Amino acid sequence: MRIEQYLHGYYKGHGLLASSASVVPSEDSTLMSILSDWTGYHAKEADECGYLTAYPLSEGKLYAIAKSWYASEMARPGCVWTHTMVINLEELDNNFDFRQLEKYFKRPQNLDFSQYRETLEVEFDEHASSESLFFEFDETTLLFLYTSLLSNNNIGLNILIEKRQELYQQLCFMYMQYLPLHILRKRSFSTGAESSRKLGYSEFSMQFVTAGRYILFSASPWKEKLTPEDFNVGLRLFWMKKKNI
Amino acid sequence: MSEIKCLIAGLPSSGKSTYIGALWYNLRNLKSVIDMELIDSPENLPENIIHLNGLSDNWIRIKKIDRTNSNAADNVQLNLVHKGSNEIIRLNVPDFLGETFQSIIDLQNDKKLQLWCQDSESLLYMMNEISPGQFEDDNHHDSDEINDEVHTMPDLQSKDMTPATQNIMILKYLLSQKAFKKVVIALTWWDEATQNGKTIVDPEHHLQSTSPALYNFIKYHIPSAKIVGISGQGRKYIEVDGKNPELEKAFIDEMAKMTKEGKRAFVGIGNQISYDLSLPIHLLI
Repeated sequence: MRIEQYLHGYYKGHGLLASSASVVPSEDSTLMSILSDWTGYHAKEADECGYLTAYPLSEGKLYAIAKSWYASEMARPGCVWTHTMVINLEELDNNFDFRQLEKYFKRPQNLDFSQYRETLEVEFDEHASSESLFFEFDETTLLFLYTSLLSNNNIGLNILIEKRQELYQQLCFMYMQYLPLHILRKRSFSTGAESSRKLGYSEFSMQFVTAGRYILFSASPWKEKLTPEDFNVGLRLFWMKKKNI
Repeated sequence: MSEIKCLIAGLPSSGKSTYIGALWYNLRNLKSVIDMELIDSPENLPENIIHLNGLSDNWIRIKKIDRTNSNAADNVQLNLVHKGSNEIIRLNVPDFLGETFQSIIDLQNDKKLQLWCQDSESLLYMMNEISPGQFEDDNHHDSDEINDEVHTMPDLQSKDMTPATQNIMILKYLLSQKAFKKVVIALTWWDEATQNGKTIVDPEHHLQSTSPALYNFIKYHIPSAKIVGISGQGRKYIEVDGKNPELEKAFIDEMAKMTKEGKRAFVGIGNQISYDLSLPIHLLI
């Protein structure tokens, strides 16, 4: 599958530095430019995994998945590098696995941007597993989030960052993988921000923040009130199967 | 109470947030050097104060202020009283990203900016770079000296336009959106033009001699605009990384002393230097 790439960063202001696509609709490029900019998120420890932002483009025909790294090497504080991959959702086949995209994200080195000017060719032979997430997050929480993302009334969930950043990224990739395409076209994710981010005028469907308004997984409103048995049996069976894939 | 909605505009790195951070610190801590006073008001919303405190904390610690991030509170409201006239002013200032103004050049207009423009009475436009740029002809190349490399045209990027051109284009857009009652043009990083405030330089003459086209544009379209210099930082920061501890300590001590005495950030008006950072705001009333 062919995936177009974009690199945003700071050069006389934050903006596009390199891209494999020759023409980008103006609305998409404006949105990418805004959402690729720094969110105010500082990793708790010096980690190299940055934070993830995923959102639909071109009215849901395309889907952008971006990784941002704080650019501490830049003279001006508050700069990031953001590598965005744009996936044509019309071209997805059964082998496609969002969870395996992680390995294709590259933080720029030595101001060499040439690799971002080439269209990425990706191929997946087998699906990745999300099993490890079931040890990190309880089943009720995973089911609650999934149900919330499936819901037509999704109003956006702000969740406090309490664990390692990479776990939230894996969680978002897992939901991207398991959401029906017509739902994914309307969903957005962010794993690192100082406070609530907006996608235009709407909230992100699910985002992880360090301050502002949020819920805590460790003391979630559903913790005492719901058990896996409270969810639809079909959904639970689907989820049990996914646990092992 | 009169309410003044003021738009602070300028390209990335033009010093908008630094000025707001320094002004906030001076309003709270250096009441003797500043002609305006902050009024305690419940309308100073907590988010605004957190944002303002964040800006002034970095300023006081002589740390470069982070780029305004896309999530930062974008509306700063200050309730002020002018000591001379006792006039109460509610100043509403958005801390827009510099990129929002830069995108105007690429015809990507931000609706929020457009609305704010139409709603504002006054404009404080900040510019750190005003150079008219250099052109190939300026280097006096003979035709046979020009190699292929020079003739390889790079991708056209609005960011590569000369600073004077970019500022003219943004000003042209802002003026097309609103007939502002008052406009102040601030040449920022004024410490660099004045050897940290030691040399007297008239900001208007500086703009006229350094960037005649930009100056003429301003004088023709906004003849009543006041042209001032602002040094929000007070001087260029040195790298404080422990590599040169004596020099770093001396620099920090000197900056701390100047901050305490209210003689760090300054405004240049005509041939005068003033440490009252509220002066540009006063000119907008």
